[in-house]
Amino acid sequence: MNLLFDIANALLPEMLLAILIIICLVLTFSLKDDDQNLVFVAAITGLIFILVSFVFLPHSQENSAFFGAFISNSFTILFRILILLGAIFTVLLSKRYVCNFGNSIGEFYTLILMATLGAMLLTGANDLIMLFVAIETLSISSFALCGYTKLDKLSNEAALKYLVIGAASTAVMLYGFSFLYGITGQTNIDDIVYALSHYEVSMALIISFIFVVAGFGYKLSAVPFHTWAPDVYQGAPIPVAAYLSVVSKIAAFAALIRFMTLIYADISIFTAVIAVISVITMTAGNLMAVGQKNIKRLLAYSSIAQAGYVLLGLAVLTTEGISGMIFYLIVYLFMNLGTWAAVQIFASQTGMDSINDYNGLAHKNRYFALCLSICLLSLAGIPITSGFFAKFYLFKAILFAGYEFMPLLIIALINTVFAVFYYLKVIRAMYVRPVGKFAKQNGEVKISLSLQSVLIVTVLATVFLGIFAGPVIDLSKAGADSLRINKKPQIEKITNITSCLRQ
Amino acid sequence: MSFDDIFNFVVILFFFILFAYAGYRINKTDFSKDEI
Repeated sequence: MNLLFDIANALLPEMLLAILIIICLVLTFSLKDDDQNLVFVAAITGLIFILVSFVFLPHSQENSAFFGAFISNSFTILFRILILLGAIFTVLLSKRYVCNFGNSIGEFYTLILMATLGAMLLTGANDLIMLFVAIETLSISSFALCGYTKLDKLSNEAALKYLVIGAASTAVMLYGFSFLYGITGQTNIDDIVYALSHYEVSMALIISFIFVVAGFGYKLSAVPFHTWAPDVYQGAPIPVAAYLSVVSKIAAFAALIRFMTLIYADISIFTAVIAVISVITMTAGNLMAVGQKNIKRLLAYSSIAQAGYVLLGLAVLTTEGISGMIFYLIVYLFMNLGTWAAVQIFASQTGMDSINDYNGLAHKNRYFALCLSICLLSLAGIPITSGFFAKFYLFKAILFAGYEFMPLLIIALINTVFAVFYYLKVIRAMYVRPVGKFAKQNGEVKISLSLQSVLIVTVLATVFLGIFAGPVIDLSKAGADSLRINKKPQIEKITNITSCLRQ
Repeated sequence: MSFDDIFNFVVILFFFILFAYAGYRINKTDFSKDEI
C-alpha cells in the first residue's frame, strides 16, 4: 500500500490518464457509431479532472517512482500541466473535424490521450529506458494520428514520412543512449551524472552527445533535422499538426533541458554546438517561411524558427536562460495553438488553406481576423503581446550570460525583425488585400462552441500573459531552480551509498 | 580553443551533415512510386 502511495505521489496524473485511456477504449469498442461522441465527453471531462489532480501532487519536494526511473518536481509538474493543457485544447479543436470525418471517432481521442501519456512520462523520465519507452509511446500514437484521414493522399504521405523519419531518429537516439550506458554502465540519469563526474571527456561521450542531440533535434524539428516538418504539418489533420507543433515539442524540450543541464552541462563544446543549431534553426526557419503560400507550411517553418529561439536558453545554460525557455514555451503553447485554432476554423468553413484565401477576411468577420492577428503578432514578438515579453525575457537572459553570447543576441534580434515580415503577410491579406473568394460568399462565419472556446481562451492568454507576466515568470524560475537543485542532493546520496559500500 | 575542441567540433559537424542528408533523402522520396 505504501509503495502505491509513493508511486501516486509522483505519478498520480499519469495513473489517472492511463485509466482514462482504458475507459475511452472500452467506450470506443462498446458504443455504436452514432454515440461515439460520448468518447469526446469522457476524454475532455477526464483531462480536466486530471488537470485538477495536480493540486494533490507535492510541489515543494522531489518525489520519485519506480526506483528513481521517474521523478516529479516543480520542473516536471510545470511541463506536465502544459502538456495536459495542450491535449485539452487539441481535443476541443478536433471535435468538429472528427465529426465531419465520421469514422474512427473514439480511436482518434484515445490516440491523443496515449500520445499525451507518452509526452508526460517523457518530461519526468529519469532513466534511459523509461525515456525511450515514453518517446515511443508519444511517437507511435503520433504516426497513427498523422494518417488518420486514410483516404487522403497527403495524410498518408505525412504519416509514412513521419514514421520513417521518426523511427530513424529514435534509432539514432537509442544508439546515443547505448554509448552513455557503455561509458558509465548505468541507465539511471542520476547515476550517469555521478559516473561522468569522474570521467574525462572522450570521443565516446562526444559521439553519445551527437546521437542524442540529433535524435532530439528530429523531434524538435531543429535545422538540419527539420525536413519532415512542412510536409507532415501540411498533410496531417490540422488538430494533429497543432498537437505536434506544440505538445510534442514541449515534451522533447523538457527531456532535452534535463539532458543538457544534468549530463552534458560542464562541457563548453556541447553548448557551442547547441548555439550553432539554435542560430541555424531560427535563421533557416524564418528564411524558408517567407516564400510560403500555404498557411500550414508557413506555420511549420514558423514553428521551426520558434524552436530556434527557445534553444537559445539552452545555449547559455544558466538558470535565467532555462527559466526564459520555460516562460517562452508557456506563451508558445497559447499563441501557437490560437493560430492553429484559427486556421482550423477557416479550413472547416472553406476547405482552403492558401494565404490568398484569407484576402479580405477582416471585412467578413472582424473578430475572427482580430483573434488570428493577435496570435500572429505575438508569434512575431510585437510589443504588448505575450510573445514580446517571452522574447524579451529570453534575450535578457542571453545578455546577462556574458559578452561571448552577444553575437547570438544580435542574430536573434535580426531574426525577430525579419520574421515580422511573413507574419504581417497574413495580416495584410486579411485587412488590406481586396476581398477574396471566401469573403465574397454570403453568410456569417459560423464557429462551433468547442472551437470558439479554444480561440477565446488562447487569445486571452496570449494578451494577458504578457501584461501579468510576473506570476508566470516566478513559476518558470521555480521550475528552473528545481532542475539545478536536483543534481547535488542526488550525487550526495549516491556518494553516501558508495562510501557505505566501501566501508 | 584548443586543437581537440576544433577536432571535436568537426566530428560533430560531420555527423550532423550526415543526419541532415539522410533526413533530406527520406523526405524527397516519393513513397507513392515505390522508391523504397
